[in-house]
Amino acid sequence: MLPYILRRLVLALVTLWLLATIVFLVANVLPNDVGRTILGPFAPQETVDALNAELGTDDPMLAQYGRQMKALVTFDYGDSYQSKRPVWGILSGPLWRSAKLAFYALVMTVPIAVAAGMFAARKRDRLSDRTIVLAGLASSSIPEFVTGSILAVVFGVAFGWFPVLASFPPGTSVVSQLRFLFLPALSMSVVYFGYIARMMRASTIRALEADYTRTAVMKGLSQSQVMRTHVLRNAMGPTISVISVQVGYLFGGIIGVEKVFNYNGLGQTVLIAAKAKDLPLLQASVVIIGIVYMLSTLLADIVIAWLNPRARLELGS
Amino acid sequence: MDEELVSTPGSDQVVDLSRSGPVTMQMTVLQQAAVERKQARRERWQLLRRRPGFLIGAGISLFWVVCAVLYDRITPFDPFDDLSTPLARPGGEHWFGTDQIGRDVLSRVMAGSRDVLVIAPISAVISVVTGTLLGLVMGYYRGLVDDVLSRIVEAFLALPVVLVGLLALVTFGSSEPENGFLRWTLKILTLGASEPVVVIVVAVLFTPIVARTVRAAVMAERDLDYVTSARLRGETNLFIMTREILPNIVGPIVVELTVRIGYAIFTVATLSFLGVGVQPPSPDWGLIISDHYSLMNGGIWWPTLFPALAIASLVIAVNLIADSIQAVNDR
Amino acid sequence: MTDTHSPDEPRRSTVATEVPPALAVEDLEVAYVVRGIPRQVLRGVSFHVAPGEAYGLVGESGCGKSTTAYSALRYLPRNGRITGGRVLVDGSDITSMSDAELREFRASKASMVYQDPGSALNPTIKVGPQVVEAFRILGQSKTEAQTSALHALQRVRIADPARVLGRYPHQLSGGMLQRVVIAMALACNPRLLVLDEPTTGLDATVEAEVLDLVRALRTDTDSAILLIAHNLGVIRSMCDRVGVMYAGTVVEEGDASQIFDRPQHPYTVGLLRALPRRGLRKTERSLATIPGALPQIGADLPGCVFVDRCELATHECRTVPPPVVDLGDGRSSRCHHIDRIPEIREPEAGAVVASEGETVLQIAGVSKTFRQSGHDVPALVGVDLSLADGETLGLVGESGSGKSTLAKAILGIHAPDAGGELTLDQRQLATKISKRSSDDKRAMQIVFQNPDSALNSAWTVRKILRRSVQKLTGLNQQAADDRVAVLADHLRLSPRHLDLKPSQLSGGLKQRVAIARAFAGDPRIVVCDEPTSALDVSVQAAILNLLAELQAEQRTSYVFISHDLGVVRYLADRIAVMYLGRIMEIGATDDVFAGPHHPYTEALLSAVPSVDGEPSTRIRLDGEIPSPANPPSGCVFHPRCPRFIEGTCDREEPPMVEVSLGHVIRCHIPPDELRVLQARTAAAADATEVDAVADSVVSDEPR
Repeated sequence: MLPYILRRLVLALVTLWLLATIVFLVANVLPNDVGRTILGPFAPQETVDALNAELGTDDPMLAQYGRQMKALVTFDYGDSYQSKRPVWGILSGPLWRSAKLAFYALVMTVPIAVAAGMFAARKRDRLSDRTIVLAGLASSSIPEFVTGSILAVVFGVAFGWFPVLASFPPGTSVVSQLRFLFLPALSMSVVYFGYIARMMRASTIRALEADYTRTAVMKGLSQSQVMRTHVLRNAMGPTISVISVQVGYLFGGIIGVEKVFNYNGLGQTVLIAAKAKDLPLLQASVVIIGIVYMLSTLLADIVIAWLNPRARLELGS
Repeated sequence: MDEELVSTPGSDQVVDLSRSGPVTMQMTVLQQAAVERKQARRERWQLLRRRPGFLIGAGISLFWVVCAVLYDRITPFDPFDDLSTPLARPGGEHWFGTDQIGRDVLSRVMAGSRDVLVIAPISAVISVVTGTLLGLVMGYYRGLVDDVLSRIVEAFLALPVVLVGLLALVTFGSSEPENGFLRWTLKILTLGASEPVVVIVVAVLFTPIVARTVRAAVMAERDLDYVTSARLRGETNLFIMTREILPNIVGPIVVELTVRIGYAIFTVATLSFLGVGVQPPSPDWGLIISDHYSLMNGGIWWPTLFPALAIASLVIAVNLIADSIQAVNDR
Repeated sequence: MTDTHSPDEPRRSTVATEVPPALAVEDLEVAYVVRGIPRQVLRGVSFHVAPGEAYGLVGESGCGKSTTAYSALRYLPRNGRITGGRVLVDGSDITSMSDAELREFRASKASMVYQDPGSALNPTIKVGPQVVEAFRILGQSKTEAQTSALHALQRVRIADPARVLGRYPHQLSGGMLQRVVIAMALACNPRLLVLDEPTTGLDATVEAEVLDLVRALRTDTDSAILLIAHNLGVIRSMCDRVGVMYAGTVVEEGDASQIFDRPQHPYTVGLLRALPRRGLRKTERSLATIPGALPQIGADLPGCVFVDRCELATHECRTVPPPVVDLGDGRSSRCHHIDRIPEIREPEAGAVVASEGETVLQIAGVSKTFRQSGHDVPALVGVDLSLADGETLGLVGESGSGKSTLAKAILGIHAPDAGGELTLDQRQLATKISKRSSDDKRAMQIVFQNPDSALNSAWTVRKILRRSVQKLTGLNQQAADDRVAVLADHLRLSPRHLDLKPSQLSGGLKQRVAIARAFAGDPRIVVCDEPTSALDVSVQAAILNLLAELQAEQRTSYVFISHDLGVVRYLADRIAVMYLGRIMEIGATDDVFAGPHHPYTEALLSAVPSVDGEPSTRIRLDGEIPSPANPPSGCVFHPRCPRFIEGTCDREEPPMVEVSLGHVIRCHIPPDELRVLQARTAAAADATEVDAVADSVVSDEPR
């Protein structure tokens, strides 16, 4: 097991390096003038040049790339171009907020989605199954900002049950934070419900059709016994994979929801950093999102191995 | 279990002449086979037509396609005309109300399918073409080529698609590049779509995802004996990949295409909402929402809700079609 | 219909009349819904199984035997419906049971053992809890159930039950898993035990062990057994009575030996004549085939279900369903023309003459070592072989013996290790296919086991054949088309077949296309890798006939791989027996079968359940084939060898000893001594009963 985890970590580092390189290439593929972007179109050329020299953004590409790689290794991204404050200082707030929202959404989604998927599989092709499948399909294919907008109109504007803006003032109590964050978390939850429920349904059906389930049924076990002891464990594996991928995306992929509810999370930070060509801030946020993704998928694979000894065997070799 | 339990398209179209029988018998058996084949296809089509999901999906999609093509004839108002009262409530003359500069929301929503219905399918097609090529190479050669490409694909997948699209579009800008050569290359690649950069960015982002699907399908095929047989008669790798394996994985590729169109709509709408996709004055749905969502707090809900419902309806419709095709194929 | 079914005389039970049959299937009708339309698969199946009796259902794939078996426990696929008739187990009708009653019934009265034991157990749970579960359901406490589980595994002769209980299914071999499944099935001491292809997919030696076990267990339970198997030898050796099914109907029923020796239905006659029985060789006569194909499921069959393929069919057969004719002694047949059965012709004698020609292919010192997670795994070790012009060399051995690796090494798919030499017509062959000249590629082709995988399903038959012809012969388009037409004609593919895709053809036709492709460039050698294993008996017969005819005409040499010794005996001129990548015995077919054989060959031969009911010698092998990564010292066969000599076999590599001209055995025991020992065993087998041998227990050696 340990060698496997080590190998996965090494691979994760390679992926991280590729990730940083991709971001660097995307940000630099067209000639751009960071100084001009920051200072605006009316600043005198000398000031812009001076700023570029100060930031090192007039250095050759390779030198800039070298600095990025050094930052990746030392994990020291220095100061933001834009605000001159340390990158980690700027990031810590949004990171914490994103984590809170992601966790909230996950807790809301996973139990319901898993239960719905199993239920649908058992009622396969009946009305309740078709309903769950269609609801999952619809909810997961609508962009988050659309769901968010509709939820905001209905529950925020029409009924007034929840605040339309999620940015709560400092010092808000946890319970009332939950109220502020309810609509954004629900918007995310609606999207990921579909993914998880559909995967759970598919893997439950696969397990229900497997020979070992037939063996269990023929033993005379009741349906709930069969589900609990034989189906659930086998069906959870693929679902856990899906959930783990979503965890990574929940951290950075919900810019739409953050924007609709005016919530300053990691996504908004990336948006701002990208628009401002604030490369240190951008790189650091992307690397963080990548790390979250890789850790959650690694954790998922370990859990799957624990659930299924055959997967364990594959990991060992 | 017996074959009959898994009555697949293969086993229900069976002809056998274990021993050469009289010619007349062969004819009837063969004609029977052809008839049964046609019948199976007809039954499948009927099955598709009987699926309410497919009908609803096709109906909604058709509605939006008609709007996209004929919007200037069927919208009640000119979607670009800003002469009415701004932010009029729904009702009366303007069923869906007016937006903040006085344009009719209903007309704009109807015209709003235009850009997304061009961008999404084209980018989906491009991503499926490139992803298929990539997936073929990865799945067929395995080994080092596959390892290297897989790492790159994995790196792409580690970030949410919308995030990478955002980065790319912020850098490139979504409008057409000034360089003439580049502009024309893009025009041709994207079949003259109005936002060529968006098309290309979405296509590039989807490529690794398609490649992963195709790779898995190729891996399953390349272990089959017909591939060995082709090597035994001295076929080149290129021939085996493109002529032997590719025709066999068309099914999953078609399904992937329909699914990708759905996600492309999702992605294009989101990018427009974030202000880096389709640019004003287009009546693109994401754009309308982006312009008006901040007014929701003040009770101005109509310019946000209607385009949101429009996006939802189109995305659901496309997914219903994709889902139905997949379900019928799997039978 | 029921009037012709007299209640069967229970053969083993002491109380005859009052006891209800363990299983009574009455006029059972089942339909499957395919693409929205229900299609009938069982058309009024009726039969009884008495307590303690073993009843076999035979028939080719698609005849409904598995559906019948699963109906007996009311476990149909989701699209399956019982549309008529009843199924009574131990007197109670299971078609009308509630879900709770059905559960209770499955827990206490009926059990099932399935094909593919590898997937029958939950991969995420250890074996122990799964066996315990079968006892817990009977109301036992946790500790009671644990003790019962231990006993259950002992009962199925597992040497170290405690250790097996602590393992995960994937850590056990197929034979061991099947024992565990049987142990679970017997937990409730069921009235009815359904065995669905219980040994299909297992190696012959393992199959023999499992069958021995079931036979032995029958003596201490009074469970009735319903056995489904496509292997007629298995049915004959296991069952008291047999039902022959065709197109969802039982067409003939009766005592096992009666059915197999004096069939009374045209279908049964055809089925049995399609088998190479009683040591039949291709030089004696070709095999009988059954023309035509099984009707589609759901087809409307107003008359006799077999009418389209029957030699005796008359107008009456098309319109009037045949009666169930009672032939006495519990025998019945569903035929209008039982009196005309003897008219059915047998194929004419002496179709093929074996030939001896010059050496085409010479293999010297060929080894193949795979690298597997850092370990060297020798799959072939120093193989020497020669193949003559127009000769068929049979390759036999259990899975993992290296048969297929040898074939692939010859073809250049897996290049053998450096040092080995392949010579074709006195020319040295490149080891890799990509390095071979087009003439060499043309000279050697292959027919695979599974035509579904071997033919590109996106291409038409014409395209498949034309591409091979062009690539192998270099003919231009027009000439290639002509050649395709000639080839198709030769293989009895009609011109219209050429425009169909493989998925529209039956298994037999597909295999014909695969053979046509192999013959596209007039090959010198064709490797046939289990070419008939995926086919039904009657189709297998047609393919074997075809292969023999093609060889006689074209003097092609075959390397014929098969696990079916009857088939190999029919077709092969010489046989090589492989074990752990080595050839243990090679010689002319008659010599190898006559003996003296290598002890491994002896075990393989005695493992085959015979459809002719001959008593076979009972040599059983212990354990599983060892891992090639870690072969035993001395003679690689010594750990399983029943004639193992301590101090010799485990230390020294055995020599190759020539028994007679061209018949060579790799064994320490001199041939004469082997002859004596083997004659003695055969004599003993005639005398003793099964139980003595079945006592041997298997140990849980890691695979």
